[in-house]
Amino acid sequence: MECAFEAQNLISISLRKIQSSRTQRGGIKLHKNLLVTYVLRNARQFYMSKNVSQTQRTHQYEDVAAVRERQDYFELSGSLTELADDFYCNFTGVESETWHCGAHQPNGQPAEVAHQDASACAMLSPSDSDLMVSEACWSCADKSSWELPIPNLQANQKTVLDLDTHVVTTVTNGYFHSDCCAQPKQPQGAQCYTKKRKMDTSYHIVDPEFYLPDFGPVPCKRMRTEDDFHSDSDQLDNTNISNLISVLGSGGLSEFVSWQQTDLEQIFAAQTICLKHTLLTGSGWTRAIEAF
Amino acid sequence: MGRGENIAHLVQPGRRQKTQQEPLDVDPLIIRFLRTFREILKFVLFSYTVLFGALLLARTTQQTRVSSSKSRARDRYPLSEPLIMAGAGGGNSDVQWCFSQVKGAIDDDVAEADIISTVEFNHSGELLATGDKGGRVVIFQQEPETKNQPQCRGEYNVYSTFQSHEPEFDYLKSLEIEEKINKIRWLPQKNAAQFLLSTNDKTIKLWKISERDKRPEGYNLKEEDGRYRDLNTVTTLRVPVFRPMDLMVEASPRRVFANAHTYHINSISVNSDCETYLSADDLRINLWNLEINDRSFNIVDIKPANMEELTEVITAAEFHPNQCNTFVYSSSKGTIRLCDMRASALCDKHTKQFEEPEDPNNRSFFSEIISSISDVKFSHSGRYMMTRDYLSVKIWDLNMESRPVETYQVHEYLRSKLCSLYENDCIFDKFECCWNGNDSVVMTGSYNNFFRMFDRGYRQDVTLEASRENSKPRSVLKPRKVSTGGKRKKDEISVDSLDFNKKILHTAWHPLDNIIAVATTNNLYIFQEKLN
Repeated sequence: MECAFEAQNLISISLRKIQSSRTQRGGIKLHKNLLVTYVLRNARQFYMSKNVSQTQRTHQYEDVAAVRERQDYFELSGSLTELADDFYCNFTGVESETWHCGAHQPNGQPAEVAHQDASACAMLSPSDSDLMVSEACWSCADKSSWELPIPNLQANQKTVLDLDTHVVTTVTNGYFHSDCCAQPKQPQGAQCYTKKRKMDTSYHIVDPEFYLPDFGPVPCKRMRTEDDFHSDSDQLDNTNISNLISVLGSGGLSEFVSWQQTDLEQIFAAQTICLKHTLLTGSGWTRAIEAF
Repeated sequence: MGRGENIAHLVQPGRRQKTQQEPLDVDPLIIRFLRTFREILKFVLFSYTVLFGALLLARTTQQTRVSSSKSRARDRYPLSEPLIMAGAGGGNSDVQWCFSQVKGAIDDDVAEADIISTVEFNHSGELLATGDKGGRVVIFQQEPETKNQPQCRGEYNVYSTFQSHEPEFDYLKSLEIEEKINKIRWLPQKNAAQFLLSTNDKTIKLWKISERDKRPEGYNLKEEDGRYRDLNTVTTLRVPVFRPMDLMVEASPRRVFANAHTYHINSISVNSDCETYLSADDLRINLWNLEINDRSFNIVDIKPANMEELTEVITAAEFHPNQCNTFVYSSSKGTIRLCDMRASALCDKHTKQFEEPEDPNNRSFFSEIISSISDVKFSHSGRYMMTRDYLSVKIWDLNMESRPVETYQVHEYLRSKLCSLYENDCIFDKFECCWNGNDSVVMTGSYNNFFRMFDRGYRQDVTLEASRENSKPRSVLKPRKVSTGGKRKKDEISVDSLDFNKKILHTAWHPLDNIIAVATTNNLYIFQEKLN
């Protein structure tokens, strides 16, 4: 079996392929992208299984430092898959209550928890496609082991971008969480934070040159604060429900395959531009969608 | 007799005197038997002589052929069994391939539009069609065999060229639709004209290729150049007559089957009923009637309700060559499903599923990619089907779903190189495969302009190369070998020196003769069996 480094290499190559396939003539090839995601899944599974067996404590502070470093870098294609993982965990009933922003609260956690949760994940979603189960396990394992800012691990999450108000919301089992409402006390939809970027220690080792030059260094999305999470379940922002366009859907593949429903390039590009603007200016989204 | 003596006989008729008849001069019984017996014996001997003579004649001619083939076989395959020559289209190791023609530009600079994307013989083998990335179709026609060279089968020369598909733009999705011809399929010939179906990613077109060698002349209202005559000058009427003209081959689109596929079309297949055909994209298969272009039936739909649950796509589909209700489709997961259209209108539920369990020892990051089937082809008999995945060719018996009956490794030495093949995208190459006319040999392509033939009967395989170096007319192709071990023998090529940009994805075998068409990147090679 290949070593861990090769797994990382494969992950970066796969993500690059997915990214470049979008600009290919003739449109995105479903078959090729499906195969690439299989490689991605396999490599990640392998890498995750390697990492789970190591102790996390040694990596903990490293992670924080790496995160801080990485805040200046935003790898779009990497984030797509990660975002998909962030927001998807296709098993029911498990609610994560350990959402913390790892950057602020580095806590140690025993590795056994990781195992436990991983198996719990596995048990809970026996009927799902292998692809999703592995991502779920991976997400769960990461979450419990490192106490990092965790994705919404609730069932059937969707992340949606409202092109009118430029609010990114997370739809979970019928409720809507407004990610972009910074504080519950300030429920303006306009004040929009980008989606939380999941901290993934498995990626921090990846060479930055795999970040795509076209997008340049884009600041990382702002981390969700703890408050956001705790108030999420009560946040129903009805004004954002209307005109919702599903951007990522709730799975790892949807961004590759849902182009017949959404104008994928346009939306992703729009999102990138929006992200850039938001993070740089911090004052909300501009309406101009320059990408297309 | 005297007057007097017989009167007594006459007067007394009652009593006829039994005069002692003179005994004939007869041989005794035994002699008579012997004579009859002699005649019978003569007859029997004669007939046996005739038969024996015929048998001897046949055996002597056969023996000379056998002995010559034996000697040849031993030279090339020292460990193989001695062979008996089979009929045309059989016995691989008996067949020597020699170069016949090469079509296409010589220079190494390959224009993207000239890259050949499909090759197909028609049902008689007289016509050979190729499609390229630029949307063009070129049809070659075999010259009839000449009297002075009866041993050499006719050459293929350009018969017709036309632009089948143009690049299009889907405004709704802001996507460009490539004009690359994905597949060409000929229709069985029904009249003087030829028909073929060609498809790109989204649209299928039915083309009629017809010859015109006569032209009507002598119109009353028109001049010869087409101008209308002044009616005042028309004083007499005449009947236009057909006059011979130079042969002109016209290709005209008769039907355009569009807007039925959301995803990219990967295969088309004409039914044996010659009225319908299927077109398959990544997730759906549609059934069309050749006459009706604004409607099609969806017969297979594997799109999941939630696209996130997508795990496999359709990679190829084909109708059974004899049974008009049966078709198969292969998936990216390495399974083949056989469906019967009589069972239900929507054939999502397959009738048979052919799948070989994966070997857990060979599990790697790329297991899913290399198990994805790139081509499926029925044998001419309809009993078997062949599938091509990245590293092997498998032959399945339609009666056995659990595993293939034969598996041939095409380039197993690439298994250790999968990582680098993934990086340079070669692992996604879709190789095709084909049967020969009597289903005894299968052929498929590989890298470095190599192509491989597997003889099913004699369990032998050969690797040949399509290159300009071996392009002398009627030069015999030398078998090539890739060295897998440490020691590289003379004339062998090491795996690292293979050129992965030179790949043979498309091959075709003449339906009746031993003539093969092999497409390299932008050249089409035609090889023929060496005839004495």
